[in-house]
Amino acid sequence: MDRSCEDIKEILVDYADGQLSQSESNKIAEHLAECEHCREMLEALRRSLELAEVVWEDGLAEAKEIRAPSPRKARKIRWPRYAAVAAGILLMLTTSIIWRALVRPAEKEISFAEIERRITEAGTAARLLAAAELLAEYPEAEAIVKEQYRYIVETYPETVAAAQAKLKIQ
Amino acid sequence: MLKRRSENKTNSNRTDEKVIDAEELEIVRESLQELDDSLLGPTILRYFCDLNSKEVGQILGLKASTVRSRLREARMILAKRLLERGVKP
Repeated sequence: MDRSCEDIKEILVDYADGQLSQSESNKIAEHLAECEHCREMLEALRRSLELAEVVWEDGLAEAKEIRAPSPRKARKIRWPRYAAVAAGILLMLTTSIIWRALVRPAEKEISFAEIERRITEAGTAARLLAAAELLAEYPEAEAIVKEQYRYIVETYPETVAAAQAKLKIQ
Repeated sequence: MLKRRSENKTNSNRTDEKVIDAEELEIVRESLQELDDSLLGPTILRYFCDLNSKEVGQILGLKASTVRSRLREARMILAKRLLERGVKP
């Protein structure tokens, strides 16, 4: 591995995630064309993320089967799993509320772009709210949680999650 | 689920097809379990909850740049473990 490989390694994850500028991406692509080692690393980055998603989905499926975990059992399970489950439920609820609102006779036409924007905002706000509510179980995270509620209210004011977050900080 | 995926692999004779390999899956599962919470949290929120680095930072009380650096570290750990265990992608 030469020096350029070390430099490339620093930003290979950003490259895999599509976070680099076009010119930076082009430089990486040029290096990859000539360097088998970095190509392997890039493929390993992509492959490991694909597999991690499978592990995550399996974990979600298991978490959904747990109906009433005992307090001791609940502590053993890492909170992000529950965050995702809660967020999924909230997202479905929020989306269904928006959908019902949209299928009513509208006074003015709503574009598909507007529908997509509302659903995206509602989903993001719901996920943020679910995560904040889980963090709220930890007293030491109180300041972060309050800041999170304020962020949801200010950034996604039209969403159901924002209304719920507003109640939390009142 | 894992068993079903393994069976799918066994039934497939195509070597060029991307399938879920049970051994690879176990390596990644172990790697995720061993990841420090400071790396696991950002990884899950960013890649599996579809939040961007700024939003992940908002949740975890971190700067977006810190989130990005932790994501890089976590991803490299997972990828290296896959390569170290002799599994060629």
